[in-house]
Amino acid sequence: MTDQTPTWETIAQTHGRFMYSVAYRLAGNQADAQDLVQEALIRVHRGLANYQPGSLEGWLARIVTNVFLDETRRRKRRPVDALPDEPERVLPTSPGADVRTDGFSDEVQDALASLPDEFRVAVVLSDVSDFSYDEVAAATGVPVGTVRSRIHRGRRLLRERLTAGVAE
Amino acid sequence: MTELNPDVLSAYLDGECTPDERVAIEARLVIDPAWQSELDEVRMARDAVRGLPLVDVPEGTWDAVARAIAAADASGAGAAGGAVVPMRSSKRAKWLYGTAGAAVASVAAVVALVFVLPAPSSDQPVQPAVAAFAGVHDARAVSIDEPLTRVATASLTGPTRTANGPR
Repeated sequence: MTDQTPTWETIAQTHGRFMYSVAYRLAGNQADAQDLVQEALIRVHRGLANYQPGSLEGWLARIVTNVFLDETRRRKRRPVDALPDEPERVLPTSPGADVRTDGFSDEVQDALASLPDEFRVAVVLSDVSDFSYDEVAAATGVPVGTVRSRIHRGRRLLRERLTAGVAE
Repeated sequence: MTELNPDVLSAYLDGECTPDERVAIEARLVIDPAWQSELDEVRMARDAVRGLPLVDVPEGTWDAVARAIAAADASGAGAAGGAVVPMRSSKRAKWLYGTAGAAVASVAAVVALVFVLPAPSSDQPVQPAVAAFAGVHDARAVSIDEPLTRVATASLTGPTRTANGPR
């Protein structure tokens, strides 16, 4: 690790909100977003020795995304988790209910959280993390053509749900 | 006209299509209101997501992260290059090893003097090598400048302190 290499604390201070925002948009709720950021920063801490100066936010977003995808795969392998001790963790989390944002942002967040995982991940990486399609493909392990399709279908679905939300 | 799937509209919007696709899409948009409408819709959805604000990190998050990283480091799962948890410095480790080494060497010297110095014969007056013992007893560990007795104490208590010390 060189003198220019930031510590995880510096990264948390300067890019913590960005990391948490990506995690929150991916996970759709505060508790999971916190877990994602925690695990991501542990990985950041472990990887700092090998960090090559470049797009720090791109690197951080990729780590958060990888943690999210690992967790998603883990949950799919074990769909029924043991019931946790804390009763509040048993209750399903209402997407967006635990973050104070205003007006339209809440609706967008709710609509985003309601998308199927593969669409939401593609949209978030493209529009929140500002990844190119090639980067989204690399991060998610699917061809660029699939990324195109997922982003477009995700956006269409998002638009439909936003329109439906306004109509209600 | 190239057969196009409307999925290319988001790629068009994001500047992620090929020049040939771009020409074909723009030609289609001119003649097909449905395509123009779909382009407007995905643009609106894209702008809505891009316009989402950064989210404030809940209080206590970084403390929890610090604890998790400290725990990971303590269990040996952490990074070698991390700067979060103060690890025992190599300087202190060298001091401990130096102290223990000096203590062992000093004790060995005392034992050697006791057993190797010639014992007085029974027909000679007793002349204990007081000066030699005193000299050994005053031997000082070079690294810490402490008398032998204190060095020996340090060597006995050192490992216990190390085992119970904070990590």
